[in-house]
Amino acid sequence: MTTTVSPPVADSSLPETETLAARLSVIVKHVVLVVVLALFLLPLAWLLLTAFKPYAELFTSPPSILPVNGTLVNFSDGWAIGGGKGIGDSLIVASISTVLCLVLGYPAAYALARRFPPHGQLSFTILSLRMMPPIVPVIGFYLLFQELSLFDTYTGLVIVYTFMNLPLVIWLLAEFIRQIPKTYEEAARIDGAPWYRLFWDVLFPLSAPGILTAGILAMIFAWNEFLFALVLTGEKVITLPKALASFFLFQQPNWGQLGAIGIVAIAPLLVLSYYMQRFLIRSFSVGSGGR
Amino acid sequence: MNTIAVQGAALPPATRNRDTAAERRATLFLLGPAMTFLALLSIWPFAYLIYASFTSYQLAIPIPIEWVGIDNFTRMMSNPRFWRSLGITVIFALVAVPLQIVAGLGMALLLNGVTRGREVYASLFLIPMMVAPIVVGFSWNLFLNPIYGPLNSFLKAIGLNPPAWAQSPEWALPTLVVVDTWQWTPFVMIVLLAGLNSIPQRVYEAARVDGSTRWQTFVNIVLPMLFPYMMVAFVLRFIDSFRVFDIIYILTRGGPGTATQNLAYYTYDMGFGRFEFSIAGALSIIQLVLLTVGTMAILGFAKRRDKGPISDAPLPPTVFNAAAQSAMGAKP
Amino acid sequence: MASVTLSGINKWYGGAVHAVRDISFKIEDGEFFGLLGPSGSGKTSVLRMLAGLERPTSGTISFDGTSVEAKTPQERNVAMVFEQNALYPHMSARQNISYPLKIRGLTKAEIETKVAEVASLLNIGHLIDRRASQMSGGQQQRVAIARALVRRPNLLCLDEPIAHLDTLLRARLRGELKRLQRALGTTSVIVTHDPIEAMTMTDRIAVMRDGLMQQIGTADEIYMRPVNAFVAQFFGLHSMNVFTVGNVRDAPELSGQCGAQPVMLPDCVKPHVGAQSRSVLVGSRPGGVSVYKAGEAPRRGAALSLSGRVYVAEQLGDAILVTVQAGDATIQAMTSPDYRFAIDEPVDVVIREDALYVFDDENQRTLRFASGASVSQTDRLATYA
Repeated sequence: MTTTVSPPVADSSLPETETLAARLSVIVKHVVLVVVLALFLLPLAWLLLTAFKPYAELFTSPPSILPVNGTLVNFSDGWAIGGGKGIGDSLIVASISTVLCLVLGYPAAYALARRFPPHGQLSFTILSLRMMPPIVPVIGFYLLFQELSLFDTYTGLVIVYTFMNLPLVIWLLAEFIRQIPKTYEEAARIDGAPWYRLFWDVLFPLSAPGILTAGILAMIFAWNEFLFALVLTGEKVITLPKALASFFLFQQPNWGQLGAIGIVAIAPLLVLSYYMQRFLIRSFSVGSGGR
Repeated sequence: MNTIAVQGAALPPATRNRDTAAERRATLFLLGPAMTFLALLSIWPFAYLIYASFTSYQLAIPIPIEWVGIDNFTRMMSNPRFWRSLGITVIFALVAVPLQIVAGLGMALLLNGVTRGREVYASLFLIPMMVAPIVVGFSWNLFLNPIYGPLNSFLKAIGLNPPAWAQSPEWALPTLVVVDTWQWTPFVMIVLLAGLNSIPQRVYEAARVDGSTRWQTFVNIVLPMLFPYMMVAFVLRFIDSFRVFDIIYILTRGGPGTATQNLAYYTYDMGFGRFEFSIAGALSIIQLVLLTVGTMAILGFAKRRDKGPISDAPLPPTVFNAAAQSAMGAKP
Repeated sequence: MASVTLSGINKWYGGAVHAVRDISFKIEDGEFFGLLGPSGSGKTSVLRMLAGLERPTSGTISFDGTSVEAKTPQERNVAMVFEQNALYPHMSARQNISYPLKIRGLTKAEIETKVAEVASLLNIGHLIDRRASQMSGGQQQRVAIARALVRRPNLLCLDEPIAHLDTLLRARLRGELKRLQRALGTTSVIVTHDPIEAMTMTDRIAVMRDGLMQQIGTADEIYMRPVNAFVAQFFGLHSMNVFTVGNVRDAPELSGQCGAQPVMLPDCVKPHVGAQSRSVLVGSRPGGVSVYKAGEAPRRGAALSLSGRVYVAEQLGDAILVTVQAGDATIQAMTSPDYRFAIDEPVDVVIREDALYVFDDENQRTLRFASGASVSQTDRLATYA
């Protein structure tokens, strides 16, 4: 090991044998962790391997573990059979609804943070909307969308996803804005900043991490959402989860192609995983006032 | 020059502070758009839902729509399929969620034992919960495939005779429970890891000085301090257990037969399989009521429990916890 | 720069909290004015109303005779330095200082000149490109002061600007701020809970308590002639000893009791003894109290004397602060460092007549000052108007 980490003060006074035992136990823990992790991620690893297997290798029993003749053809074929459209549609719907959530949510969050008590009724009402399982409103949405000709439209799905994510976005941003000392705003008022400059010069930069977090979460939820897409869209709008499900269940599936689509669907999330665990740990931790 | 204090006017002013009117306008202006949007989209579809569930609304059959009152609800109550799907929902809530808490606790403790690379491990463990449930279901479908999947090939190779998992009437539900647990244990893990992080080092040191063994420390100190976090995880997972739909849709489609139809899937099947919107609407409303009552009950329990010796343990100030607290406060 | 007049200012928060009660005073052009009081006294509310961050519920504020209640902070051209979180954390010191100028639409060149000017004035040239997180607390406050001064405000509001710094730095910044204010002549108001800060920096001080104005005057005036027991105890490095002597009798000598402890009283106290209560509220600054070994107190007339035990003696270097428990009263005395008192040692405490204050038993107003002469009726009713 090239990195030197200064040992805890208490350790230096321990006898050599105990230090050795402590080191050994750490090594054992790491080994256990790696094994558990490997087993834990097996299903996803299998998905990854499947995506690189040519058609002939998919249907062998017992299956080959590593692809013998690894291929990338599944990715291009997966794209061609509808994965491409799925990615496009998912991106369109997720990003537009995320932007809408932030645009509608930020002012509301600011008002909530500065004018209402932290755990007040209004906040709870907003958040309880988020707790509702999607199966409850979906029938109402279906009937409404039939009436308004929003069935199977991008607009319709964007509206629903915005509705789905807005409560959480408002809440997260409000919590974040609450942590920004009011002094900064007062300083800006004293400095003579009009309200739009107050937001632009002071509040937005200071809440950028919060905006990013809320935006990422809204994006992930919209990207992964299935039930609304299943019920509220038909042939015209096909998001990635819907594409995957319908190809798998209703067409002659080529698992390799579907695996490739699945991998593409989860790849962006893998990148965000590290960021997410930090965010989650922090948001569930007590007394983590600092940003 | 000296001054004697002058007693100020002791009565509150007749008019409120001059700035409130302007402030209220600003608040309205800021909150207005989002609140209008949310209100519109909760009330409007909900009106349709109510309408559907109290009438004979069927999309497939063009019979005249009539007001039938609570007919749909009573019909459902006498339907064994409803009770069956309710049972499956409850199993999910009462089996999968505790399983996730226990497994999550184990993982959190394991992770808490190492310092180096903890964040890397945590982010790798977190992958399943970030992945779309549809992709999760699909991966498990491949993984558990009775003929071409690696699991059964392995089990056969070591001489066992594995079932067809998702396709088998007995194993389909346990399979779904396992998949749901697999996907959401990381969430519990991360909540409890945050809980473990919040226990200050001095608590452990004090316990050591007091001569407590590691097991005693765990049972008497760590677990009680983690209780609020477990409660948060439990409530959130309980609420989410009503959402389980995607993995059923792609792994079993409610089958074999109706073996894995939970309320969500049953509702979906009624509404969009058979276009019985009245029944589906009634089912939706029942779920909403059940979920609300169930959550309140759990929170009520947590609140009572909280009056015990652990009331000092700080509650995590999350989004969700805040909701839980205000829900408790909202109760009469 | 401006003179500032407040008259009849009241501030209510939500109809239940009467934070500021009928406050009136005038700050002269170029004056350094202190608002002093314990927390919750309403001093910060007054400052925020001056700055334009809050509006008074009733009353008027005017700058140079022009009413400003309806005006924004920018229209008033006020500047403010906050207790903490004073700098925008996402901007460098330079950006922070130039922000108010940018808002006012000055050209780049103008901004640059002014920033350089104020930076050299405050000795922060080397910090100019750092962010708040890269500066110490003292450096941050310096930059915050620079940001406040760069636009030459009519009124500079300082909200406990150095309260969060450590002792040595605080002492240094006190001096710096005072010199700076003198040099620029900017009308300034500082809010503080620390009497020393108020005494050392400002020209005049307003002492507040529970939203009420207690006294306005120079540090000397307030120190020597506090209007009531609260001001007497609150103002100064060490709190004034104030205690009640009850059971006052005329014969054989003027004497009373402090709890069970007999107290000899000087004659000057006599007219102030409550006719009904037969008690009197007296006080003295620690410097006016002498402590002797039991039985060694000189028999000199015209002094208050009583016996007690040493509670604790604190070494202050050039003096010893002795705390004596005498009956119900706890009395502190500043003594020379020559003699070391032991804990629980029996002692005699003597307060000379010319160091003795007497307060009204009921409303705690000062009836007699240590200077010797009793307060005349006109003095007591003098107002600040």
